Amino acid sequence: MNPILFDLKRSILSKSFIAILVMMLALSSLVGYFIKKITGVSASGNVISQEILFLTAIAIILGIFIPILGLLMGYFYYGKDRLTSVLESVMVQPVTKMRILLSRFVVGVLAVGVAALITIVVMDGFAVSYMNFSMPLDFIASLVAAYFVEAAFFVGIMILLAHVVKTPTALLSLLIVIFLLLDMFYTTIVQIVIFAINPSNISTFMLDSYIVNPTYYSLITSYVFTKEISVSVYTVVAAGLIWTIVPVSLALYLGHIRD
Amino acid sequence: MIEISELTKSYGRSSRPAVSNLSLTVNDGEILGFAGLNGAGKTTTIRVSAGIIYPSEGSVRFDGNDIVKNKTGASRLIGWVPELPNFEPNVKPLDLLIYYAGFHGISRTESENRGKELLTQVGLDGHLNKKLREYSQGMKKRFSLAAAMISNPNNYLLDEILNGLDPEGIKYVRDLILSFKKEGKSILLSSHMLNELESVADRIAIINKGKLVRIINRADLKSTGKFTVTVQVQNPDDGVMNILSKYGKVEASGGRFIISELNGKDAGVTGEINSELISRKYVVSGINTESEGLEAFFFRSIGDGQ
Repeated sequence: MNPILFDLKRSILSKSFIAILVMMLALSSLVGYFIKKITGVSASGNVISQEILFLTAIAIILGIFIPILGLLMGYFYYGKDRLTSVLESVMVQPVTKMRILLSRFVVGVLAVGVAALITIVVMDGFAVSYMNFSMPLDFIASLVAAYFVEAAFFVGIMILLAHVVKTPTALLSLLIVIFLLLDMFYTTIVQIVIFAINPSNISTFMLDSYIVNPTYYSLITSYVFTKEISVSVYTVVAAGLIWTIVPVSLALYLGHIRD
Repeated sequence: MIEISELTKSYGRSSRPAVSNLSLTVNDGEILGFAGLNGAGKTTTIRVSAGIIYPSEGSVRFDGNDIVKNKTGASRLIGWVPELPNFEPNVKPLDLLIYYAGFHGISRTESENRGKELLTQVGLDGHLNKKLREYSQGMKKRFSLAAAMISNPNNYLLDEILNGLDPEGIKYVRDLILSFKKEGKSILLSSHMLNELESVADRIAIINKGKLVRIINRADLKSTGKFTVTVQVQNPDDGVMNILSKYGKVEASGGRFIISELNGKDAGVTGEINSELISRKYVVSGINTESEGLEAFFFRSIGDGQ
């Protein structure tokens, strides 16, 4: 069996993958159900389309879970294996360390991408059957592409950090810190910074703060389509390339120079 | 053939190298025992050789393939058994063997058949449905042997392979190592169990504080220059001790006297002792020499190296 297929099967059948996928599907379905129930009328009386509410809700749910899944895939299928010596039994096989690192990175990104794709496709089916609309194809494509970028960053950063720390506990602690800082409390942190430095143009500052955080990459990507906030395609592409390439490249470098 | 040339491995700039300028060759069909105290550098040498960590200086080649410059080519020729095997815990043994075989380009059917055969051979056929996290250390050791043999390599790096095995396992592994030798494979066998090394190794390399102290042929252990003389006297008294103490350090037990530390004297000294005792009217019922074992030789060697 091809070792990459084996790794992919192992990660997709893992408890962490299945648990997060189930949570994403359950939460998205639940949110869709409530959106349908409240029939899309906001408290102020402005009509908000069910479609926009539902798409936004899915983007938010995936925006929370995709980084966790990326971090967990990087942790379980490279970081922990490396720090508990499990990877040594693979390193003695006829394969280079760089290839092991890259293949685990690709497998992690693919697994996260598969989870995002499954969620979006299932939710599209949900929207068609329950809410009588279909998600726009360009929305699906851009969202999936954006989640691949986020996955690449979070899997890559775990692989990179596995070459810096010495124990699985330290790596797990960093995983939690990264998740809390970049995902859960980022908006709060930005608001505190805005309050502290009082920038001249708050909306530009907010946009910049989103661009420098890969967790918000899908949101930035969606601005290209919705034109809600003006952001250039070049900026989005450049940010995507940076988040995809930089962490894994640094990890490759450290993997090459360190044991 | 395994060729380790001027290998040095340092973990930090300030600390003493774990292995320093080590050169060893393991010929085809040879078992080279690798003996040393904890922290002597045995495991580091094996980990560098297996391609797990990089050497600081020097090289390791397997049948001419350098483990750093041609990692893939060299790794095809190696079977590695670690001191403390650690495998992906949530996988069944046969699946993991098939995964490893995939790196060697072995087809699924072939690797499945070979994997089953090897797991039976190492005594794990009754545990195929368990995941590796349920395996004991001894079972993991047996599994790591099967993993090392999956590609039928020419060279084996066995690190404390006998640790954690029951007596039956030790006998099995000993016989297996000897069968590797018969097949013309090269085996680097590190062990704390000096009597086991003595019983299987063709040569024994003694390493201390990262440096090779000496290499000795198993046959040469009988003539390391160090020996003891045992004398049996039927009518012993204090005079016997006085006579024998001229030859070395004497320990007495009834009529049995063991003379050690016979530095500067060869085995011919027994004739001299016998003649002197008889001339003083003692009845000598037996006198013989015995070479020191590997253990005594080992401690004397690392003592010299310190």
